[in-house]
Amino acid sequence: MPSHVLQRLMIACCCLVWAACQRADNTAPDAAVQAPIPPVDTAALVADGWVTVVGGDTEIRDAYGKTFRPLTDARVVSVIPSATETLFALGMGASVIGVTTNCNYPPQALTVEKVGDFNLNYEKIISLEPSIVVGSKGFTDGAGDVLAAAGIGYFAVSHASFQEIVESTHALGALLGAEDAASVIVGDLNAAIARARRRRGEREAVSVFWAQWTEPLSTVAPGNFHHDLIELAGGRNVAADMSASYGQFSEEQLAARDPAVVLAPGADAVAWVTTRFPASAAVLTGRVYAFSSDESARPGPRLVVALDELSALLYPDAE
Amino acid sequence: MSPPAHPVLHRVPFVWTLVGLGCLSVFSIGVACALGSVPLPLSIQWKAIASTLTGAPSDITPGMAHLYLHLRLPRVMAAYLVGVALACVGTLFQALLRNPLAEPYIIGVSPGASLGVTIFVALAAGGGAASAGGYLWGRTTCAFVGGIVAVLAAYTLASKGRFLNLPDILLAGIALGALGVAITSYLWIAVLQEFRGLLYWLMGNFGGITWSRVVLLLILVLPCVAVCWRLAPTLNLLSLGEEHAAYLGLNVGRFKQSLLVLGTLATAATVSVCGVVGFVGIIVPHLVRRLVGSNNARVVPASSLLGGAFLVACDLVARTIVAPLELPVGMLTAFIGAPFFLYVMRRTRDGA
Repeated sequence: MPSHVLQRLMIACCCLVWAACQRADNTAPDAAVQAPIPPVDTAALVADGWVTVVGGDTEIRDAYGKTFRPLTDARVVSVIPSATETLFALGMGASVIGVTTNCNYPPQALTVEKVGDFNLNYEKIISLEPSIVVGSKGFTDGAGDVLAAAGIGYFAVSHASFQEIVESTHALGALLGAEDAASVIVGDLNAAIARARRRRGEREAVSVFWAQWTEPLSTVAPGNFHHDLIELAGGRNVAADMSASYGQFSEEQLAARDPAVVLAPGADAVAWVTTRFPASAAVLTGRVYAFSSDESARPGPRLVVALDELSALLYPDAE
Repeated sequence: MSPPAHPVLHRVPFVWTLVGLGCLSVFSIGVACALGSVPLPLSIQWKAIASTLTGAPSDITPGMAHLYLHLRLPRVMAAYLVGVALACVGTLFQALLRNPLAEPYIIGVSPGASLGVTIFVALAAGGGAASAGGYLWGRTTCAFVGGIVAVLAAYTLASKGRFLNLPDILLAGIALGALGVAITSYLWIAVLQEFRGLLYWLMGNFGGITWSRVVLLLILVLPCVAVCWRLAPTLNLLSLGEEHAAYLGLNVGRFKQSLLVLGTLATAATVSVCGVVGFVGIIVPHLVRRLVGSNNARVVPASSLLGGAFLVACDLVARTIVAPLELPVGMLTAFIGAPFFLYVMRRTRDGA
């Protein structure tokens, strides 16, 4: 049996089943008419779900609902760049004994022992004898079981939305005894959200399409924190009705929905959008922007920077 | 390759079969132009064409005209031409290699071509972005080189002295194809660090189709298909066996080699335009043999026409079924084609 025939068949089956499931509660939209998607709430984000205090005992849940007690003198391995940034921002940099080769911020992280990239070197992790490994729901899913077998705790953060990012930050702070620092990070994020709201003022939200990739044209929808980033910066994501949080978006629909602003991941992508959609409002008004950076790509404390940058792009005339 | 004693259309004059398939092609293109995540009724299509040709003001927006003329129309045309090429080349390879399971994807030509494309993209990424026109043709050239290397390697590995071991070329192609996919994946993931590009080139996709790509297909695919149509009667000689064909005056070696190169060229053009779309070259020729019998003089032209219509329909489904999300078209053809492959495999074995 030719194995790649079977492999293709299996991939195709999975995709179709997945597509069919996605379809169930999502009917095709008419041209340029979108189903009403509730906008992201721009009120201040409050972490209230993952950390509970009962009779003086603090109990912390991670993204999977697994419970933890606060650690003292923790030895932490971070296997995801955004968590590395959060840990350093929490002031716990000295406790971080292992990171991935992708963890390039803050600069101090570069000198920490490396435990792999997206493929984790479990032998290395175990040899470092960490008291906790911090990973991410969806990115490092298999790690928990492997590490549990070695008797090492695994704490999963999640970042499908800004709310989850705030919960994760707060929970990490409570886990490592840095609640105050966590509150400062969340406060900074809320301050950036408030700044973006002031920039927008009473104006109607600017319609935005954020191309994450051009061939195939791919974008984000609710369930991806980039969608929240658009909406919190004062934009309205024209792809919000897409039936996957990340996926290939119809070029025809982009032309039909004709957003005021298109964000593209670099100069080449901006050129591609400009030649592909010459009659679109964004191209005609010169509002196709290169917008791509670690700040906007990583669900960590530097989202503050991304929020300020994006809101300045969307409302350039505001103070 | 044991077609039914009486093909379904054995009483119908072949010319009428061709006319019918031609009408089906036109119908599929018309439907695919009108339907989509944005419906474009004929009136709008007509106004878009008229206003662009005459420059006269019209009541449709420039955006709508652009949507039809530069997003919808080239995409449908590209899908048709790629379908024509893949079905024609599938028929060609099945006749040349006398194996009903031969197909550009299965024998490793498409994976080889997609590796060529990937190497070109990796090199171009290092040397700065090239101009759009040169980029497309450079990519196609690399796809052709990759496809030729794959088919030459499979051919050499399956040869014993002067004889070609026919089942072996399929196995060699499958192994080389897997190797090509592995190297392609490595380049995208480790060197270019972009899994999204990998998905595009391995699963086939008609997003991003421009008129320059349609022109490239017209220039490369139509001549190849025309030669195949012309040489189709000669292909029948090969089914007698290569020795017999040689006694009848055919230069078997040269004939086979030049047609393999021709098929590789057409396949490379499709891969450079839309990535790897598998199985079209298996599904369509086998359906056509059911209709018109196994005479290649009939199978080649009929497959070409049906292949175009088939891929246009597949792409229509790919871009509408979960709109505004789109699916890779290669996923759909594999979904239909892989079970079909297994069906053909079993039927061939039972018949043998």
